[in-house]
Amino acid sequence: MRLDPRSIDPPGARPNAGDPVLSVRHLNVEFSVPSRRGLLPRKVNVRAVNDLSFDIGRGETLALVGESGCGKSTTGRAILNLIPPSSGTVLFDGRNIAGLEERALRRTRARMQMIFQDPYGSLSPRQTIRSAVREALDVHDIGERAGRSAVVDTLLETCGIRPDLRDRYPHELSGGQRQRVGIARALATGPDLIVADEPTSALDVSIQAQILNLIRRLQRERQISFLFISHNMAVVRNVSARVAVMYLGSIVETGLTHEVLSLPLHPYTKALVSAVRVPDPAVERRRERIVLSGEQPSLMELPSGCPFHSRCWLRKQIPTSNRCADERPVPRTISPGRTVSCHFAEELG
Amino acid sequence: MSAADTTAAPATRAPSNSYWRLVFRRLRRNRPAMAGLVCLVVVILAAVTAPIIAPYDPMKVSLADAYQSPNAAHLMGTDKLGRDILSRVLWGSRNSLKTGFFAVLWGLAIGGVLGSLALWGGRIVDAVVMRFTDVLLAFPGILLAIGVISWLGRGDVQMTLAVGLSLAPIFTRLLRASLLSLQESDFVLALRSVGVPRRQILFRHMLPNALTPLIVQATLQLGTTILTVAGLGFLGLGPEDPRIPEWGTMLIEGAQMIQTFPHLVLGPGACLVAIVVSVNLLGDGLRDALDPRVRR
Repeated sequence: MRLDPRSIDPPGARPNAGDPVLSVRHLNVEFSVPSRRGLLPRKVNVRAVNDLSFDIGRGETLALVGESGCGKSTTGRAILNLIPPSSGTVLFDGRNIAGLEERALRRTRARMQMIFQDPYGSLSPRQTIRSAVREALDVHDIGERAGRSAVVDTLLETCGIRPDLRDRYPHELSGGQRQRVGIARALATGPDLIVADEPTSALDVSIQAQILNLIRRLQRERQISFLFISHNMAVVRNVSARVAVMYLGSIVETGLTHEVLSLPLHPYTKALVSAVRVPDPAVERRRERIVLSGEQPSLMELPSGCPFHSRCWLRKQIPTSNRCADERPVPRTISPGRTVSCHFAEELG
Repeated sequence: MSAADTTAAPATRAPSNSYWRLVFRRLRRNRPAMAGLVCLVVVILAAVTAPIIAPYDPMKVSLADAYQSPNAAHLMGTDKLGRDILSRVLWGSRNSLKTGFFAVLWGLAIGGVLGSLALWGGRIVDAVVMRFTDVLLAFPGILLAIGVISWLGRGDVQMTLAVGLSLAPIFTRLLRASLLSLQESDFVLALRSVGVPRRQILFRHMLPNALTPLIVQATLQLGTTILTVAGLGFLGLGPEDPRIPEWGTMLIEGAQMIQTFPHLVLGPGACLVAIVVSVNLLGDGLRDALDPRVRR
């Protein structure tokens, strides 16, 4: 199965269709971790997600991209309130998730689900896959009790699980099959939004394409919104019309996927995009890789000003200004739907 | 048909196996563990059928037959009162196994409740429970048991309660630790995101998955516990009625004469060693068989 983004409609594209399903404003997530500095043990607050704002429309897919440790997964979990946000609002269908008490939160969870990176770890080892999917229906009391096992079978079939596998345990399935079960379970409650946390990165490349196709079918047929978390730009362009690039807890650039890929504005995005292989061999040969020096700074010692300035490979072009180190850039709208958090995005072009 | 409509690997195996059947199959391939299991079953059978298979009344004194070495009439010889040692060992095994088994069960019960409570009750309950187990752990198990026996008095039940209590902190800590790591696992996160209530996650998913290390530990502890019970008997805290056969009591009696009549300690000693060794072999085998990471 080949995936060619130009031969099909941009997947998950439906911007500006009414109210957004999910609206995140100024989301912050902090962890308290023991500091290794100094003699006495003390706790330090680490900000894993820093002032994040974005919207996801109904039936739309937004991809969240960045290297590992940049806070993508934390963002996904904070949206589902699996990790409590320390401040900011997460409006799901107009209601703030952060303020909900346990019972109401559980009801809301039926409508927002999650697909996990590790398809083995996310299924209970002592449960057949059928009962794992069924549990989601039972918990939310969906449909007639008698009809539920038929619903479960249909769901598993939709996700490509053969009928004879239904009574298997997770350890008896392959990685791709387990991921299909995880998707079936997420679909069971009929969600409006699914947070897919690197759903393909633990799978073989051939299986990745199958899972991506399954996700695309769900986008098409069920109008489910996705927050698709990934570190792989090549994967993202196959499932998402819009992308947000994250670095060190902040979004540095957002825009339509094909625009961001063809003309990245933020220096970090440029580096990220330069790592994507191009199908056209002529273009591929001319592709120049931008390799960032050093590692992502520790969250415990966030750089002042722009979070990226310590690794920015374009900063030498603007030697006269100290703005990068002094002032934290805010997202600026460059064109409709396109924002970038860099003081010099235009000059550096 | 697109690739999405077919699943990855063709399944050629027989219908699904339940978890426990799989565990047993893996256990059966482990020879030492099976040897331990067989040995343990034999000991349990002997204990259960002691009234039938014991050749003599274990309490029948016959001073004329005192201190006989093993012979055809008395396979393990006789003690200072002319009682048949084999019969006493057989009857004594009932006491040892029963006390050991129920002590472990009692310890598991306390540990299970305390361990779950530590996780469920939040920070303060957790701290209280953990400090309590610290206090219990600060005493050597046998010392703690002696303390409890001196408080409750001597007897079967008291012994069981005392030894069980000394086991409780081990199980508490073990359960708490595995629950804590399960709590951070992806599948618990997945259950939470599906919206499964907290109680259901704990009872239906976390506890069954935390059982594995507990089962292994309980099996291994059974050996230690039987030793502890014998040790308490050795220290003179065994049954109040000295006529009742008890391995620990038999050992201390025999130890006084070990140079002249080594056969006095040989019978109970060998049985004790056999049980402890076989329980340990079985426990090790169970640990491998139950480990979900070692597949098939």
